[in-house]
Amino acid sequence: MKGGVTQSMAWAHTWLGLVAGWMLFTVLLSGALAVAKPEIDAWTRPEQAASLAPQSVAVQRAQHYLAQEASNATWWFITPGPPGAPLTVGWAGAAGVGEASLDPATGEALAIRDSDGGEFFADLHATLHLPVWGLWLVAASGLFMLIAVVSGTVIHKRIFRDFFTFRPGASAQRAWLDGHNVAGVLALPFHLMIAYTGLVSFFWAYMPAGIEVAYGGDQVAYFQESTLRVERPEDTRPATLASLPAMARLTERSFGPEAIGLINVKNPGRADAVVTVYRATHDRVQLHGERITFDGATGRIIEPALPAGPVNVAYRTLAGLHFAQFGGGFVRSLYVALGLAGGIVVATGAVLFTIKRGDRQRPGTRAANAYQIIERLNVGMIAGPLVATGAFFWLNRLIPLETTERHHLEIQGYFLVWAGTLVHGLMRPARRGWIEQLGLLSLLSLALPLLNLATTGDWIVSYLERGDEARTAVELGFIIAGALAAGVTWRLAASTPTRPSASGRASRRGHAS
Amino acid sequence: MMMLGVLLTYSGAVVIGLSIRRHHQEVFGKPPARALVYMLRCAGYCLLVLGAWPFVHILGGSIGIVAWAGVNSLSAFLAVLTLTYRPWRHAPLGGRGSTRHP
Repeated sequence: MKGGVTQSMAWAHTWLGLVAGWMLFTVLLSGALAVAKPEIDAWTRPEQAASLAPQSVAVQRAQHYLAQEASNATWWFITPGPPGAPLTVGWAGAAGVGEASLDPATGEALAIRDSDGGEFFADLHATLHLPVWGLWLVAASGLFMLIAVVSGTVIHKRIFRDFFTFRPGASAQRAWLDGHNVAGVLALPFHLMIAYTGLVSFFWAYMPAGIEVAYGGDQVAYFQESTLRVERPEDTRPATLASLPAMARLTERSFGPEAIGLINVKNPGRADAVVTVYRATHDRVQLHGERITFDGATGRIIEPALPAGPVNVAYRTLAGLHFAQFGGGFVRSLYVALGLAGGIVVATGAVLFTIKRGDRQRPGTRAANAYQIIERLNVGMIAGPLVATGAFFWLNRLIPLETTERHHLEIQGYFLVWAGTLVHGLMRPARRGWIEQLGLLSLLSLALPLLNLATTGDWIVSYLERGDEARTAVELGFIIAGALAAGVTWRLAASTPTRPSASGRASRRGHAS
Repeated sequence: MMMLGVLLTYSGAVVIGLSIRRHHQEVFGKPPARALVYMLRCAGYCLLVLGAWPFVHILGGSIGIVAWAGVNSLSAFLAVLTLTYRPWRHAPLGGRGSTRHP
């Protein structure tokens, strides 16, 4: 029976891999970029120059700003951020919603270009920038990823003997397969973890049955109860909000210094105001820190920091593993690298599919044509999102600052470029398509620091001199991506276009070493 | 300090890789004896586990373990590249080298 199991696993791996692979590539790529959101946010908003100020000062500036600009709002939020990060404040009320970035030292609003920055990639990762059913599509691709990882492990019989096997000098198919296996096997724990925790994080959307039964479908009631939100009797009399910095100082006793992640204020101008201070999560795996709740009018503690229940801790830990808010730049760079390794597994898998199967077809038959279309779609679905990402960063610097709805234009540009690469990929022979699109990608990426220098006067060298780690990391990423794309383009252009399986013999290519 | 963890896990991965017949042959010019295979594997896994210590020490238990797991994957990947492109580098005095890399 073992052969039967292996064969059905191989079938599942091949076909589910192809169907989900194209979608999965975008999900993995945008997920890796979303992890670097703090860095990408900083690069896409070059005006954002945050000065160093202790959190208590930042909170004071935020309260002053919100009291002037949004005194009638029913809800405020303040994210003081770690030292060196900008201070973000937001509000919502009858007059609408708003958000502003402030200099934490002076409290002045910073004029920052209208860009979604890293948030766009987070959105692309979670929903493919689609309405709610995008969440379901991503869930399906996450499920496919779990199946592909498990079935891939089963069909790879000699997993440990081949653990370290990479033969770039062997036949093209062998080299692609080795690359696929090496990247897949070595990052296997990460791939299992990220697919599983990604699904678990959004269980309320994918598996709502429990909430349906226990809460009659009232998800808000479920979240209120599971997070034990403090409810107070309504009291609409006007009242002045007590000092937020004083409350921030009180939280330091439980959280430690400079450890505020978020401050929420409900009904800031009323007698029933509630202030909730959340602990930052950068030093622990769990998502969502503990919180302390204050009576907004008096500044007294209503509820101290309570330990969370075991189920809550399990959920927060799994979600925290996925969202990677802990461990700073070091852990985030690991996540980016391993996420991109996942992208490599998918990309090499999609290429293998056409190499292995497409070449078996006799030319001119309907099957051969179908495989040719798949082969060309591979270009637009794998090189395409990469080129579009490069274009997104270009547009961030090129679209005039005063344009209305500017951030929409950046996103539309992303999808237009992607659509363009799909059309281009279908029109060109697959090899040419890969060479042209990856060549374009390397040009776009390598020129980004220069474009930055031309438009803002800053680039990797000035960032390095200033010790601006976040923006240096982004530009380093551009250069690495551009160099890798150039390397692959060069190899593709240098290698002979004949396929080894066509001649039935491995064609040996020169070593890169 | 974190570099120490990276170096430990990377050495562990290379040593485990050298317990594999093909790579051993490439570097040392002869297949490994049975006892040597077990010794290399044991030493390799010990190095991998030891590599957790710097991360746990700096980042704390939970984050340290997560970071170590990620570093393990990347170190193994680096080891694959080394064993593929630079096998002789690990041999004492250059070793006898492989036929593929004169």
